[in-house]
Amino acid sequence: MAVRAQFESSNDIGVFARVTNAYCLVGIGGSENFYSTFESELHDHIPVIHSSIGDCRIVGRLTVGNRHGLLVPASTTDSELQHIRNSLPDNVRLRRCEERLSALGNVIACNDYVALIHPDLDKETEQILTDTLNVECFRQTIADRVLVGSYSVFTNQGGIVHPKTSVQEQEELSSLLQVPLVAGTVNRGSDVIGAGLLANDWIGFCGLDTTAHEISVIESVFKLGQHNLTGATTTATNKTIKDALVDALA
Amino acid sequence: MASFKQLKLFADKELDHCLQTVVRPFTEHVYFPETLVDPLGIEKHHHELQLQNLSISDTLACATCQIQFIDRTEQTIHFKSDWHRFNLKRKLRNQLPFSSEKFEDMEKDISSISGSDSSDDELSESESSLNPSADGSYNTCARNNPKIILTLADGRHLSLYRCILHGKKNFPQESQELIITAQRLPLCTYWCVVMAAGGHFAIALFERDKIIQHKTFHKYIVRAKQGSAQSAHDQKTGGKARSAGANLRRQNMLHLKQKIHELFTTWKNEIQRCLLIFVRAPSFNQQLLFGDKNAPLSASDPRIRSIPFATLRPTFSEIKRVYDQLTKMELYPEDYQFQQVEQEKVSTSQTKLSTTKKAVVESSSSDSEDSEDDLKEDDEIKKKSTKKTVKKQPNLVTTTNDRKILPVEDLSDFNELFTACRLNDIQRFDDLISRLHAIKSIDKSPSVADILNYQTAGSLDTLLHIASERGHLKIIQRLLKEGANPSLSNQRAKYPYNLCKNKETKDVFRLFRHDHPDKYDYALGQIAASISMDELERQRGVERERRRQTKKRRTDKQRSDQERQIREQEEEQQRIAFLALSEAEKRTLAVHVNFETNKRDELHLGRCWQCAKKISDEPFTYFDYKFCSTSCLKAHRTKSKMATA
Repeated sequence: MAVRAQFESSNDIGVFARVTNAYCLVGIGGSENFYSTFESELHDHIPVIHSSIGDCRIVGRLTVGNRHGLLVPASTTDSELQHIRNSLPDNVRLRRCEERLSALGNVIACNDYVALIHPDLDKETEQILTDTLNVECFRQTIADRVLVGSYSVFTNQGGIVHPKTSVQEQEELSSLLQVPLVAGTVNRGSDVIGAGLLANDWIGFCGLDTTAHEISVIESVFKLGQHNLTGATTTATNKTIKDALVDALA
Repeated sequence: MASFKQLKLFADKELDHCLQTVVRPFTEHVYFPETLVDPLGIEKHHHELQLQNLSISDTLACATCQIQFIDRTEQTIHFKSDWHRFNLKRKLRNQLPFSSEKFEDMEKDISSISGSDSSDDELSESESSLNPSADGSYNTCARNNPKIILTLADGRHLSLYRCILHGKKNFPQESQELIITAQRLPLCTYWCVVMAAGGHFAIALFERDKIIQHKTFHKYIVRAKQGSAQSAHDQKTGGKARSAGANLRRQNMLHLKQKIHELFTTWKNEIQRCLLIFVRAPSFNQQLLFGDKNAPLSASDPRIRSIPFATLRPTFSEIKRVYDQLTKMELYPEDYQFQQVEQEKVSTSQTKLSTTKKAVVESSSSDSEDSEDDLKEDDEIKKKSTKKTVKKQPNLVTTTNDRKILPVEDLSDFNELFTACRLNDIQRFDDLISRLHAIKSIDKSPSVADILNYQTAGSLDTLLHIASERGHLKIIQRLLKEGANPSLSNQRAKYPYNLCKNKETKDVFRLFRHDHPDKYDYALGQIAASISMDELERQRGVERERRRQTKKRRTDKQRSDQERQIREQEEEQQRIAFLALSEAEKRTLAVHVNFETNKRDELHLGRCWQCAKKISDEPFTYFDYKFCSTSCLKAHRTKSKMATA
């Protein structure tokens, strides 16, 4: 299932939140509407954490994480770090990282196993990524764009990349990441996938402008709520997958 | 560099031929999908199909480095290699990838091929003006480069203004579109150039290189000396100006608008025929042309283009120049190095922009070399600051260039001292100083004084500046004693003494000057004449005495003021009481008073019968009544007459 949401009339919800399989970070907005969207969908399964990073609410662009860990930029204050630490599940590692490209969300895209990173990222940061998030890092560009975190979103199930990614490049990436990929858009044709879309293994959130067609692409590639699409037989299996996941996380 | 040939559209036959043979844009094609948009929607169908069988691809290849792998491990190792990273960066710069052998050769030559290599970065910066930016779109590229370079079939390049091919709103979707427009350019013969600015308006219609029609006129709408049009000013201030001039200008604005509208209606057919309309209408002039419901031009018109270079006042000759410039195109030979041109363009524009900056960089080049061990950012900030000072006060360069640089470990000490000075933390300050003394007694290199006299990057403040600005007397005393020089100015050419918060702070400096008359150059530091402690005490005593006097005077005055007020209040009450009395009672009272003339009852002697004010002078009388003024008398008489009548 993919849910449409909006942050204070901005469709770029990926800027203000970060969703992973183990937790969800939400920036502090003027109203609780945005937060409530996530809370209502996720609070049974994972903690939804209100937070700012370095007094900014663009938490989605500044942080990167998966179910193993969370990486925050150097601008994060000690109190914020403490708050996030207190709210995260105990088995999630939290690490602050001194990286020149401080918008980690823009320069890194990852799932629980692999990460695509900006070609200029520090070697040290790459090491930290491997240690904290338990991922294999690959330096790559997407459709000649270096901001891989902005122009792609992928989970353990699948991923969407920038609409101008060539078929050859898609196949290359897909074999590298070991997930199926499609080139697509969100928010009625926006190519900044990372800003318009948030997804984990069982739920997706996209900007309010996202069209039905875009949503159907998102749902099929991320394998979200397939019980709605196909017969009842898959529902059971899907449910068991989800339950197993939740059990594993709990 | 004059290896290109300048051609003029419509005038040179060669250009027509060149345009016909345009093959592709030189760089811009990267912004467009390589495949043609298929009108039958096969692409879309393909997309659907792809969604149906989503699968993990088993392609084991790297398109960037153009190699294939045997298995997954080889693949992962490759994607982590330096070779791949290097090729990625080359790809972003539109360069061909290196083969692994070539890369290895190169690696031998260069020890570091790290991504953040400085020379690498510089190159990419200068190239970015021509090359497509990594995550930019055609839009940003178009905004940055007013000219587009097209490659011809015979390999030569043609450079022309982008605005001739497309406007700001209708960007081409694919490179084919650009090519087709370029090829049709010789057929597109009717052009219109419209310019409006500051009450001047000029329009001309061109067919090939002749002018068919033109018109210019001028109205007085811009506020003389102040600048800005009256309408713009009105919008800003809310239309308050009511002067004759203001009204005149408003009226003229309407006239101008009307005249333009009339012109466009009479020329309607000709303008309809134009295939390109170049418009320059900055700020409020936009409204003249596009503003109204039945405006002469509509902003959404695809023919409308803006003029992509600076223009002067709209006159006929200026319009001709604009047309001339727009139709000029340059033909470059096949092997022309555009990168170089771009680089040079960038550098010349930079020098043009700031000749002063260059001078400063040169003058401070020696110290920037020293500062390599300093933080890089500090250096940049400092350069900026020196630039500023040069602009404002050229005589300060010498002082700013003297700034000493501290090694990193001392910088941290300085930072701690800085904090202590700011927070007036004397305990910490003393600790730090004694620790520094202890360290420096072992290792002589930069003395404690060097740290104390360190000027922060940017503002060039010393510790003394900080302390005196905040009025931390004890810190100042200690700083001066330890050797902090008060004759160092900060970036705004202020000495610590100038920044003193109050007189006490100043006195600390003066006292120190008295105690150590030769330690620093006090005159340079603009510190006032020295003063001894006794003298200071005396002065303070005098000051205190003076203050006491003034205070006493003030309390006295207050007291007398209060008394007077009470007296006035009493008088007022009595006056009201007197007014309330009837005529008979007033008379008895007067008689009563007369009776005791000697010890006159102050309260009721000589009160005016009418207004009950005390009569200070000889009263005005009629019958027994006494009045303060003739007007009171008159009023009383008329009143009594009325009563009798």
